[in-house]
Amino acid sequence: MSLIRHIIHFSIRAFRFFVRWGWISLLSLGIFSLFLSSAASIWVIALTPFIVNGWLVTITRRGALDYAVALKNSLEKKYSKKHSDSVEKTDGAFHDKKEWLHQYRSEIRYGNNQDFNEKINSRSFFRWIKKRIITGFHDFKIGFRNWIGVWVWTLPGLTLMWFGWYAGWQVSFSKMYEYSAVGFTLTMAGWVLLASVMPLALMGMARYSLSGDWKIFFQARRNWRWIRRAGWRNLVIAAIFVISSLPFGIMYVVMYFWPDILMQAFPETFSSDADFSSDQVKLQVFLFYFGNTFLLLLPTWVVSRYLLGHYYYAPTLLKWLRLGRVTPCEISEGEIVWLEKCGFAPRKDITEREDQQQRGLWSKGITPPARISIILLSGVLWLAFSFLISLAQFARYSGLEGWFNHPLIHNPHFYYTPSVSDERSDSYNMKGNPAFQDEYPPSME
Amino acid sequence: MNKRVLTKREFLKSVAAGCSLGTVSNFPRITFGSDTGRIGTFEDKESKIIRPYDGPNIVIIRFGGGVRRRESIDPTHTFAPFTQRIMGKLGTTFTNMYYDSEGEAEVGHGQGTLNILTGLYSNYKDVNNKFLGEGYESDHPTLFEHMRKEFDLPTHQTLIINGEDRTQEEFYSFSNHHLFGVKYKSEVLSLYRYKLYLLEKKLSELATTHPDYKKVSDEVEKMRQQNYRSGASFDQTSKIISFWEKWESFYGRSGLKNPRGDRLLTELSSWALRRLKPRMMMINYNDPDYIHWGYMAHYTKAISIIDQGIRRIYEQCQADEFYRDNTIFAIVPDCGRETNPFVKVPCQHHFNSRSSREIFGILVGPGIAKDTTIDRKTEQISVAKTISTLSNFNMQSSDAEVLEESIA
Repeated sequence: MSLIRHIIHFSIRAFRFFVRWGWISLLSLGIFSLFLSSAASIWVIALTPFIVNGWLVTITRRGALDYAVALKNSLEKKYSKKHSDSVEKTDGAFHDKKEWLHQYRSEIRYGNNQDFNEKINSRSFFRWIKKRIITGFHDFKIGFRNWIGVWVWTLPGLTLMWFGWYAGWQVSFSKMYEYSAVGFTLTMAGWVLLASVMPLALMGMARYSLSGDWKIFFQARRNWRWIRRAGWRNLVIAAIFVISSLPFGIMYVVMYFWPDILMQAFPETFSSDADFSSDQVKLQVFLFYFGNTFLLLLPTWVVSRYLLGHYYYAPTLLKWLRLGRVTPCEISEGEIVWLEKCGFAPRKDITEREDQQQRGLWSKGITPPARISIILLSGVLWLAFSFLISLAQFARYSGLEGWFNHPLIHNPHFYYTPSVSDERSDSYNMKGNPAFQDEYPPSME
Repeated sequence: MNKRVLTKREFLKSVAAGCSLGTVSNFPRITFGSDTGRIGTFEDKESKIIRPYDGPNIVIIRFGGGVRRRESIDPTHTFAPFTQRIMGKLGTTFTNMYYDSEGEAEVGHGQGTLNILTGLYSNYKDVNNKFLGEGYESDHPTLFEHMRKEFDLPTHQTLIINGEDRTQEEFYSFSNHHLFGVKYKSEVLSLYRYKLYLLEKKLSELATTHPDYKKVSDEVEKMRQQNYRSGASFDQTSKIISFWEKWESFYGRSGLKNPRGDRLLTELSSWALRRLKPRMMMINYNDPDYIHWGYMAHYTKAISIIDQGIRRIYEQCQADEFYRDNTIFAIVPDCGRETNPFVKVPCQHHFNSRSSREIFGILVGPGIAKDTTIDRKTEQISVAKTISTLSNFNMQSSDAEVLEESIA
């Protein structure tokens, strides 16, 4: 037993080490590859999504803080009207929202690292460059950790979906009727599993954005408690992500028509008789694709991640804090620090009462029928989200990358390298092939 | 065999005459499900002389499910070495054949098959307007109908071998043309037909009072509904019944012992060549189409399976005196596939692009030029026209050119 315990401990520590420092290895490898001519561009393209992912984490943070400041602002006004003679401010200092955002803009963007912010807030050109580089590193780090954190939850379901797809079509191709249930069963199990963990992944993303603590992804029980406290918002956020998936699905399909569209729109550049494999054309195709895909999908990412913080997470957190029903273990130091900056005094609202676990699962307004409705309907929506992943594979099969990296929840995926453009469907060189001269029947020698 | 087809006008006249005389003694003898296979035929004095067929046997192989030239006839990348190297050397290869080079006809498996059969490009619609439905009915006569109208051939000698997943391909056995149609239909061999045979046999063995009778009867009806085409007949001729009986005694009823997928089509074709001696046979391979689901290996493996099937059929024909040196093989895909540089699987679908129209054709047999490669642009529909020329009849319904270069 001792050995098993050691192995488990070692595995967990190794994983923690990877999450904590893996981003440096990956980024170093990418930077190193910049010195190697051919691999450089691929690495830049491959690593950029991690930076965008990190930036999107700060968008979620911004969404949450916007809500908190707006709420604080609203409370102040309400309080001022009631007590017009002597305005007594609530805990912390009230700020106008714009003023507050201006004051904390740098921190919102770069996290809670005060020293870091002080160092880079300069107008010198070299400092500006330095700021950009450090920002890139910072975004890469949090993007990588966010990706790993979400992946831990989604990987089992997606693996089942991937294997179910493979097994199902393998069975169908081989007409192995005896095992006809295998593929569908595995796929269904994958859908259900992914649908079950999606709220956990989203709540993890939201809490990570504010706390900056990557371990928060793995606090399953605490995150689950916050999910239940979110009530009807679970339903809305699921709908937002399902609807946001549609542009991705459309892009998957559009990509299949893209070469034909390009050829018709730019007949001189993309003539069907031209050599499609030339580097120049390849580059143009690539740039055109990259730019359009990015521009189309970027708003979807920004809106969905912003709403994750602004609509789903922050209202739930503040509501339950103000109700005085949050225990110390349910909130992280990072969250407390940010709320204090918004003018709240969360430490006063945290309660030590032991009956919170029993009382704190659902709000009073959510009756048992409402709970069942929320669970069922959000389950159906997340199942639809999972199904769309499988549907996209039919429209445009992308292999492991397609199964394990849904851009909305994992890594924004707006790049594509046309690696097979040298492939011509009509290529043949029959006369030049010595094998064509074989005798029939072929000799066994 | 001076038989003539009963027209609607003649039928009505006969009924009227029979009624007016108050007797049915002069009513023409209508035979259903006979070995002639002519549903509603009768013998009368105005019989047209139908020639016996003395041309070559024809084996049309639909290299189907949509394949690209790259994985089929490109020597460097081919997964069909027998087809590309051996059949290519034994006959004429059209390396630049197109599925409607004008780009007007919708690219699809059903449409492509009907192009091969009718020698015409048309845009088809599902008979019930189902979304993605492929229940196509041709308004133009097929090669088989021409053959049977022109020559004295029973249905079991004009065969279509179909896959088990696509019952809509049962539709291709006859057209809607008023001068051809169901009267000159070809026979179909498929697992669907076998299942139908088994169910009908089971039904005939049960008494109507048997508790399972209703259940089996419903199953039969359900199976028939899959081929719901107006005028379609489910009466299989005695030769075909005999064929299925032998198949049943060998492979049983479970469906688990016989080869599966496109290997099944090869097996059915092999059995048909030995037992039914068809003069014209079309094998509709289709498993490369599995690449729609994303696995390139399914596609390449399916091409390889078809290649092995072609080898087996060819070698069997050369070993059989009935077919040796008297059989034309026409190998042609129903359609091509995409060559899409933007995606991981470049040939997953076929969306009317240039690549999805790029196909090939191989003709092998007596009267066909050997070891010849034709690079000029040719059309898929020319295959039917060329076959009709080689079979000594004029397929007037087709306006395609004859592939003259292939004729030695």
